[in-house]
Amino acid sequence: MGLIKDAFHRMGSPRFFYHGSSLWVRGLYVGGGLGLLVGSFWGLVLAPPDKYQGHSFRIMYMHVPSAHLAEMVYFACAVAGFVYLVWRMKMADVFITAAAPVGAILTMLALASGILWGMPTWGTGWVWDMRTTSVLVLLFLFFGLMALRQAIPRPDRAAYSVSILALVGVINIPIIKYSVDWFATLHQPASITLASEPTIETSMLWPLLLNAIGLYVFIAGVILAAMRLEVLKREHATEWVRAISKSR
Amino acid sequence: MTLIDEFYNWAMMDGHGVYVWSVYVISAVTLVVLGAWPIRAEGRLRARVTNRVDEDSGA
Amino acid sequence: MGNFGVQFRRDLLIAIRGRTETANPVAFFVLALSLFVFAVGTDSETLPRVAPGVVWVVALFVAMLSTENLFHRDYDDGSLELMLLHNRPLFLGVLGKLLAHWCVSGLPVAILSPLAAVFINAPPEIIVTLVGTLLLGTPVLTLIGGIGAALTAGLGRGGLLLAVLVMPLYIPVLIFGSGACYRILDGAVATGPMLWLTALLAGSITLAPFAIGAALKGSQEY
Repeated sequence: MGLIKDAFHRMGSPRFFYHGSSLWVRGLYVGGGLGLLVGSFWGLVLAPPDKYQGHSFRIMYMHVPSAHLAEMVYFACAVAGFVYLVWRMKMADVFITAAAPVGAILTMLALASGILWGMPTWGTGWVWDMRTTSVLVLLFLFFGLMALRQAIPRPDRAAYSVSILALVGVINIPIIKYSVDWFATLHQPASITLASEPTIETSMLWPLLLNAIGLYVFIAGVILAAMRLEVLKREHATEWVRAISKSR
Repeated sequence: MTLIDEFYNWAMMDGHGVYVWSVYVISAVTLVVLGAWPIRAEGRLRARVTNRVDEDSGA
Repeated sequence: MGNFGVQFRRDLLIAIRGRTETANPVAFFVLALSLFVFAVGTDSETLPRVAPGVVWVVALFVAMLSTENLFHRDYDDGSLELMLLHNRPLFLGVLGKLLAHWCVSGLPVAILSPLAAVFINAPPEIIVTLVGTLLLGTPVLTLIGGIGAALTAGLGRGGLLLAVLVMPLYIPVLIFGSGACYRILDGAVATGPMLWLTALLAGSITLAPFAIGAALKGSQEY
């Protein structure tokens, strides 16, 4: 228990975080990159084409991990917001600052791959169903986090308000999902049944898993690197940052 | 079928190739840029800090 | 009378004494509706089909634009700080302020909506549902808008920041509000979405004032 408390306190200090995370970033990038390369190769080359959707199904190996991870990043921002509001931990705010743009880019990737998947498979690039709409709304939620931070000049007030916004947004995500689900069943023409995703065989499961884990690990590295950058930006006038340059 | 033909068939993916490759290329480029940018920006910031420190102590 | 009553009376009096300002939400409502009519065409068939949705979207814009300035006046003249200091608990004071605001924005819109529906050639069978959904939904819009207004209090006017923050949160309300009317048009009952709206109202009345209070506290320069 003492070890955990220690680690928690250490993570809360920008300086310890900065020095402790440099190796992690490298490891996460390499590990994640490898996972993504192997998984993508498996998905593109080795995996069989789908019975109904043919080769376009290979897009799933990139689309599903990015959409899922984008949502996870938002949840993490909400958790970080909670941590900031309760414990005033600066690093929690650093996390949100770093992770929001990354999450937005992941969401855009998910949307782009989804549109490119929809066009050959269902003839239309975009359908307003539960999943597509909630991913789109997720993009706006990320934009909101970034826009609010930019609009507030005082950093501590910005941190406070963005944390509140992250929590309000996370409560809204399930509500949006259910409402759009209801809306979609109302308006969906009977011919398009987007819920009909084929059952995944095991030969298709492995590349998906590899890509998912690889993307998780890689994005974790990216967020860590972005947090390091943010820490430097905030603390550039302090003694320990100046000491870094002296030692080089 | 020759090797080239097989490769061509695979790359075209029954006409879906445009979409599949677009997705993977866009994703690859995005992820590479996403990964490289914070590292490079950090390097630039550290260089600026070093300059400032040198200025403050030297000049 | 307590916090709630005091705050409610104060804000309601300010709002009513605003004279022309008080009429702005309603005027905007009618004007924006007519914009849609001009855009879509008066004798087309599309107007009746989109009418419920259009009325709801315009009502949403009224709520969003009028809550933008919810805390500006109080922030500028310092009474926001006093409100934060004397309101114990803050929850009730916030609720009173929002109720007063709704009385001059959402409530008139809901009351006038039958007129607006006639104006925009809406099919007559949805009018009752429309009023019902607006009565249930506009308070939710005011409450959620209040969260956005509290987060952006004192940041300077202009820009669509509040809109960007608040519109994703508005989507479920809009879906159920206008969806209820479309259920009626399809020949079904609208109880499902109405119940959802009631649930959203209950949820936002209990939760939004906390978020608003927390956000307002953050706006003070301590």
